[in-house]
Amino acid sequence: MRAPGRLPRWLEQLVLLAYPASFRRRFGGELLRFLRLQRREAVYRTPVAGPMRFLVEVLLDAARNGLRARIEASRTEGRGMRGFASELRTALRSLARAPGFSLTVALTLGLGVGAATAVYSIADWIVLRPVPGVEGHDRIVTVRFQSENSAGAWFLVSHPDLEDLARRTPAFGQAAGSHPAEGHVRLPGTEASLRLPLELVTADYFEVLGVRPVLGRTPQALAGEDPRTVVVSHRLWRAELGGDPGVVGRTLTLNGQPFSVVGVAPPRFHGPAPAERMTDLWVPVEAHTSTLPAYPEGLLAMRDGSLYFVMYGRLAGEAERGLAAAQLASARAAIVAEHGSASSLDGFVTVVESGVGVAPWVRGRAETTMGILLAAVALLVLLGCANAGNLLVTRSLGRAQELSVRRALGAGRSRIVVQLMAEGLLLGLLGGLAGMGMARGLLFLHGRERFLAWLPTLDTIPMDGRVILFAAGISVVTGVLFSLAPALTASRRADLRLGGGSRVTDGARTLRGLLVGTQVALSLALVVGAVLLMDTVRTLGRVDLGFEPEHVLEATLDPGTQGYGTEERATFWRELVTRSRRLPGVGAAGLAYAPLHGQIGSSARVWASGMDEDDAIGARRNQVSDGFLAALGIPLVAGRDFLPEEVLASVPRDVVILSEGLARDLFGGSPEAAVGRQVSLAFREGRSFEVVGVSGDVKVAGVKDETALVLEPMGQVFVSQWGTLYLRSDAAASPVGPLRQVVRELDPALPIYDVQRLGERVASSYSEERLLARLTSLFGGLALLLAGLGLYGVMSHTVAARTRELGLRVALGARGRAVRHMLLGQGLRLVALGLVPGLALAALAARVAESRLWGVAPFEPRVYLLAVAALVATGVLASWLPAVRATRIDPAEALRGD
Amino acid sequence: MPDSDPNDFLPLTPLTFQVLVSLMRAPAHGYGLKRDIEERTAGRMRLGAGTLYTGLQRMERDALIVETEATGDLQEQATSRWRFFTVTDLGRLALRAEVERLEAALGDARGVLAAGESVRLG
Repeated sequence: MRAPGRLPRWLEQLVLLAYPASFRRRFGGELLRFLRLQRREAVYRTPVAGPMRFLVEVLLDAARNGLRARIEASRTEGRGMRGFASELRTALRSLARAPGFSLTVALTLGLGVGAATAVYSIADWIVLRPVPGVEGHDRIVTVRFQSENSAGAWFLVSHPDLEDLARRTPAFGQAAGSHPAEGHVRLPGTEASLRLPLELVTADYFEVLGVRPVLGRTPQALAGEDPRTVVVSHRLWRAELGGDPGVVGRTLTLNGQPFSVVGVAPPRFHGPAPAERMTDLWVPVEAHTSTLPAYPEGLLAMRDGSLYFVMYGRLAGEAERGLAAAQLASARAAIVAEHGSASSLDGFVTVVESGVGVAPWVRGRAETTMGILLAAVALLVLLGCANAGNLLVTRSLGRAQELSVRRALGAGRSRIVVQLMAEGLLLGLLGGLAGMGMARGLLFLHGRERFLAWLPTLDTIPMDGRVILFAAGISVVTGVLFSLAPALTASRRADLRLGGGSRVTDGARTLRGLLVGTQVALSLALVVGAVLLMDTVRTLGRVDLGFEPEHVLEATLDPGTQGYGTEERATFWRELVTRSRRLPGVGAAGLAYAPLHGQIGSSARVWASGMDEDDAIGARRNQVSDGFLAALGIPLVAGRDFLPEEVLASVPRDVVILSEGLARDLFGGSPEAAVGRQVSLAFREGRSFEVVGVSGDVKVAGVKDETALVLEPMGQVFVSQWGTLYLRSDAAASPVGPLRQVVRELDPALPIYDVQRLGERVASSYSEERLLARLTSLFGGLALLLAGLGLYGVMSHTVAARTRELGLRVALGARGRAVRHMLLGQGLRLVALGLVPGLALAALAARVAESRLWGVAPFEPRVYLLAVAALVATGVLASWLPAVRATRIDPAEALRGD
Repeated sequence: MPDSDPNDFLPLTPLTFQVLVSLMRAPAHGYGLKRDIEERTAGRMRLGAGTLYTGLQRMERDALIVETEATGDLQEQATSRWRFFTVTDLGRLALRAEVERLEAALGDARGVLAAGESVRLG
């Protein structure tokens, strides 16, 4: 067994400092050994969240128990805590005497603490926090299904397979399944509906998750009862149903059908993964035909049917997760052996996770982004510390006399260190308060700007007690960290004789030089990161999308969920497009089954009819109406658009439009060569489709997408359940209101959602990159400012301390220019001191951010040169003013001296 | 015999109780105690370093436990300079007194509950 590694020295010192000396002597070494083992265990369990949680736990544990031990020690030894309390009082008085200084330091620290707290809140919401409302997390197991051969692909399980799995897994006391869907809820007393996330659940779902309804019962179909029952979330009950205590038994119109309300979920419970999806409605799976009208009767009994579930189990008695995993694996094998490829489990392995939470792919993505943000934030916190330390040294220079007097009067060196650290602690807490305010602001901004578009619930992130503890934790750590070095030097200085000359301040100046160097290094890393990410965003913004998002409005409708049959849907879509075209200012309107840059989309392989299917080319497929190309501004390169009679035709015409690249790959030569030819499509066996047109190439799935596109007229294969309408209008026109009116006329109860300008959708497809770029540039800018201020402080002090010497030089004939250059050189040397470690740190930062870079290499020399230039410019600026002041020194005045 | 009255320590704090139970089985060091207690209570009791060691310091002061030499199969671990603790006679008596107290309390509670339920059923 390898001995566990040491903890960072500062952490060990900090933890030990919390305890009284008597305890440290007896148990100090032992305590550190304990913590090392504990950390190793934490890292082993969860690589990213573990260390963070460990740090918070350790600091809280030390603060709480250290305090208690000190109180006890002070009772027996008559010192300790009482002493510390008086130090705190002294520190408070001393800070109150310098409010400007205290405020500056607090704000400097607050920036770092605030950013760290905001990032922690988000990470906490996505991956760390136990899901609200779920009881007995450690006894719940989530079962997912991963493809045996194509690693990384996740699937769900059919209802019969779910039941068989549950029966063959005795380690589960209870098991349940959940199928995500959408619900259109008619609001009482109105004609309008809300579109809300819904889960179709099996009978034991609430029991497995340990959720107890606050009113009524759990969602399940009772024998001999209409299964059309629903449990509503606490939020929905309060906000939309008036919080009526007699709601149980009332009828709610859900997806066009009457559902009886049988229960209200407890507050804050919104399903097993609220970070991903905040469920408001739970419906027993037996009611699926009413909830999803498109799904036929008997679907539930189909082993390979298309109603799929995530599986949850609650461990029985003493059973462990490992046992459940083993039983699930053999149950899967037995089911596949019995039913073969008819089973939804064929070709998949079971993967068990402890507890409930976001899907693994969401977590993976979140961890990368959070990793980059945390790295940037850590730099910012350190920078804040360096800057605050710098300010503190400046202040302690002014207090050299006071400290020396205290030392001479018999205050021990440790006493002075403790007092300076008490000040640091208070400043840290003050910074923490400022940081909490800033974190709130940042979270608000995240919610409004939808920076992480794949995380729809970001605007609901609460700042709970754990986050506040986290903020307090880092505030204390930073407070002590930044005051430690200045406190030690100041106390050493106070040992020297009273009234010492400039020699006394040498140590302080070296320390300040080092601090400025540190700031330069950290700033360089942040600036390089910011430039790289800004370059990425700029490149992404300049990508030729193949369509013109300006002045295009999109809106999505889901008549399928509303209960429309095929004929009704066809009529609805036809009417919608026709009436939208007549709206004032609208130049073109078109409909698509899958929105551009959206989550939905299907793909298909395409080959020239008569050719070998093995030569097929992979492409994305979409069903659209005529006018789709015009509405989006996609050029028609050859042939024609779909004709109105080809769209939603009662007899399919079997026509397609190909994108240019795809047409070239299939038929070679010019786009015209493809028009009139026949192609075959996977999943459309035995049919062949005439190419009637060739469109320009389009980035279908996102800015970084490269794939080919096949368009079919809507209705050629099926009449879509839902669709996205695109309206191209004059710059002046705003068709949102009129469009809503059109939909109201067609069906007042049909919700219209995802209404936005197409430009917003496109921008949100790289919202993460924009978030990272904006934050790192903000941090980088602040870093430059702080480094500049730090350098300015050092140079001003240098000039003030060397007034006599400089005056003498001028008196002896030194020119102003020479003096200026000397001082500028000195400032730039300090900058240069930080550049070398800064470049190394920047390279490291670039590595961390690499996965989010696009169109720019992580080690692009131009970026590094730019960052260095920015720092040198800052250095020149910060040294220039003090240097100019130095040349204005009047030699007579300076030499007269004191 | 110890000169303190084991009843002076009642009721035992949850930490004291669990540490004594663990040490009754075998001498252990701090981290071993943490692991043992967390395992036995299925994670319901989580122990930080500070909580545990300030607790051990108190228990040592009260002479409920005492530092001991590592013996037998513990000797290999002992090379890692951990401090091992074992329970004293006083600790053993205090634990026994606590168990008796808890049993009496439990008996009372069960009686009351049984009576209440039969009233409701009847």
